[in-house]
Amino acid sequence: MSKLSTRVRGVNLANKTANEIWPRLVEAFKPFVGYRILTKPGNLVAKCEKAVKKLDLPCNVVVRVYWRRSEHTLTFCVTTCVDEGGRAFYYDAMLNIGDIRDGVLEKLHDLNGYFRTDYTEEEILRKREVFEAAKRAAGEAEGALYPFGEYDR
Amino acid sequence: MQAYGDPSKVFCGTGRAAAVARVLVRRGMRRMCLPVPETNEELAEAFITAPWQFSDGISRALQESAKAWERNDHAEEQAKAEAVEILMALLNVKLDWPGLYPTYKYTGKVPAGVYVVEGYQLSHVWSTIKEIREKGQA
Repeated sequence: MSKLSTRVRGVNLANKTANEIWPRLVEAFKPFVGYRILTKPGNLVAKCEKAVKKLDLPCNVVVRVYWRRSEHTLTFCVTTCVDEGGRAFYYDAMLNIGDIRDGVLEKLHDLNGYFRTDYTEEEILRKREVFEAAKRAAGEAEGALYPFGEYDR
Repeated sequence: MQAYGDPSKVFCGTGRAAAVARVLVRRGMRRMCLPVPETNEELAEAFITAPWQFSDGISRALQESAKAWERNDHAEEQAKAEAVEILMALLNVKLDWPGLYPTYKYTGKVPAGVYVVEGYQLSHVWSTIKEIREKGQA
């Protein structure tokens, strides 16, 4: 297995998990909109913690979902660790499901269609080729500007 | 500060520093809304799986250790500092103490092509470990 295929698998798995859990997280946090969800030191209040624990989010070596401490956004992180042939690849997908101001949950976001789960090795290779060609063209275009350069300083 | 034998055994041991280390991991997991494992071995495994998730707790323990030193509470200072040593030993990372805060050095096998950064930054340790795991040796 190539390194790229491991990466593609890791990213797709994280995004798939993110797609599965965000509606459940939004549902769990709906009753808290307009209420304080962070304690003074910045932890989630006990009620929210209980609500999250009830969801029984995945937590194993391959997929782990955890709350990320932040004062401005309600963020959960899906970490995947994909192993292929003794090689590990880590990927974090961030779920920014809401905004927080002064510890109060202001609103929740709709993340529908935000995470792609259909990345393929071929697609990445194709995009890399496009990028390489664009870089070469940019280099040539920059060379053609000589001796004037991009700006008049 | 102290030489350890089997790091996972030290983590599961009865000393105060080991207890502080376990509290650090347990508290970290609770803060992230992750289910807290029951046995000490599972707790150690949870830390080893994704140690970068516990950066907050580790930094805080080091801060508390430094503050304890300032007020001459050396038992507290040692316990907090050794707790961090115990945790990092699980990852084959050795700590040196040039001052109040430690430097980190990875002491395990390093595959060719991985550059091990030594210094005060935890994030460098995490990136080194991630890179070594990506090459399949940690």
